[in-house]
Amino acid sequence: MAKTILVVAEHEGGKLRRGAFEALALARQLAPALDARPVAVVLGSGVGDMAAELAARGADEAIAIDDPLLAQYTPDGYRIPLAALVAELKPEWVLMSHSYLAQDVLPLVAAAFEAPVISDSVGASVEDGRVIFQRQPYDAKFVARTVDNGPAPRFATVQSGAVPADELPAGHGGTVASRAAGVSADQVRRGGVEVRESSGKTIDLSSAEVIVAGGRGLGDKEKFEHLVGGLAKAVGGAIAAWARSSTWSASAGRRSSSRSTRTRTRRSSTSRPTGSSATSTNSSRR
Amino acid sequence: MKILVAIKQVPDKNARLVLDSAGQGIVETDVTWEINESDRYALESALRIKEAGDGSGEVVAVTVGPERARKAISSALAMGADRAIHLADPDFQNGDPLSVARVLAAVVRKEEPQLVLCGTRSDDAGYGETPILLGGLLGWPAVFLTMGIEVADGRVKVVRELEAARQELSSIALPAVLAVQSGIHEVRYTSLKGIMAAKKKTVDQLTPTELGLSREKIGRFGSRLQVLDLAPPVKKSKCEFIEGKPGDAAAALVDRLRRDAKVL
Repeated sequence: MAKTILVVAEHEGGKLRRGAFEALALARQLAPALDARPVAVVLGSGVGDMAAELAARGADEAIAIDDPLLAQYTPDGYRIPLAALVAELKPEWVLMSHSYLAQDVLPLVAAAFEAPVISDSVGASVEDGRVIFQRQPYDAKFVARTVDNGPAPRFATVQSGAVPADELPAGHGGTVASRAAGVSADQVRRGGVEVRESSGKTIDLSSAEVIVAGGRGLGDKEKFEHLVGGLAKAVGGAIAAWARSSTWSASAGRRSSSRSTRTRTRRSSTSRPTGSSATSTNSSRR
Repeated sequence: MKILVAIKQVPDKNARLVLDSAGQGIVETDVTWEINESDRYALESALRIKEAGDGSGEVVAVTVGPERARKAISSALAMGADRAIHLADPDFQNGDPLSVARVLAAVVRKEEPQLVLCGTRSDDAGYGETPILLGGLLGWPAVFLTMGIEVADGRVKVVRELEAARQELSSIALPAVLAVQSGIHEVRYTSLKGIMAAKKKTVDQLTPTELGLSREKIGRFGSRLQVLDLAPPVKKSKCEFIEGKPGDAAAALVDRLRRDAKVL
């Protein structure tokens, strides 16, 4: 059987998320050197169209795991069919965007195969048949070239925005297949799941399509809100480097005081200033 | 209720880190160390659950780390943990997340807590997966990015942070593993009384043999993941001024955002 790289495609509101295409782009980038074919899987209820889209956008095969029980994400609802699929395909790599969902479920699947996850990578290359991922440990102070010396299946996630997806084809012509979820309601242990808007002004920048950032150079809060806020509103973007009483740095991707604001930034190669230039409007030094 | 809290000692966030000569790690001398940020929130959450209970609860802090991690243990005990387990044996050290999860799983099987709390992600290696791997190895439900915990009647109600300012509410049966997000509660300060009390608390050291673990499954030898080298990131940021009348400058900016930054 041909070798595969399996992409687990996330979706929201009936649409594939950008991260799904980015993970697919990474799979396609690695596939030739590994002599593997990119295969995508999408789980949910009524996900056939999304599977077709993945087959058109560059997956040689797109697998829909369609079940009403998967309409709402639960870790068991995803883990059980994913583990079965991974056992069937024995992929060289299982790739996902480094989303909250991936972090909630992918290590569960990996643990079933006695494998860790090369998480939050910002890129990968193949050298002598071995995939070398770049990660940014120590709060992105360093780049670590990281490998998994274990046997397939191996697992990795890729940071949002790290691999551009705009080079994906539009009419690839991959095949579409399906698998049964094989999950029963009593196997789903996370019960009474309900999703709500969180209270307070919190936003996660990792899922923002556009991030507008500004700093002290703008002078005062009004100018910041006028220019950065106005631009963010005009382009439908999220504002980074906003602070109330705390100080935190966008460059390091985290708050230095966790108490007063829940606004967080995530490191992303496209949005993250690599220097120490991005600071909050009223911050002292980091 | 017995709660196990897994903590990790990491370099202070403000520490200036220097690469070692082999380019595979950091120079540990002159680094000040602290308990990983989100782990402090996990410990705080455990203490609050215990304090809200009937007084029979116990909070046990566990860490995998060399001798220096004893300081993190002392801090955890001073904050209010009842006792601690320090896995300092050299064979436990330098493991990838899976080998650390194997060690923690062995401790959980020995201690039999109803709840395991961890931080979401370490500030050094930053894999952010050990708690969920642990759940997987134990066959326990696990939740990543926990922003609320309410224990009642053998179950735990959990608030999980989602992207785009949303939350997931759910209920899971105990035992369970929760990865706690920074900011869930205000973390208490250590009192002098706490520091004094910590000196009388028990710190157990366990060997791999005592945990029934073979050397090939833990630490450096049990790790699949390998960091080939560490290097400073290549700085690519640059600043550019767009001159001209506001209208023209705006048009040029939009063009650059579209063409170069590809964000529009």
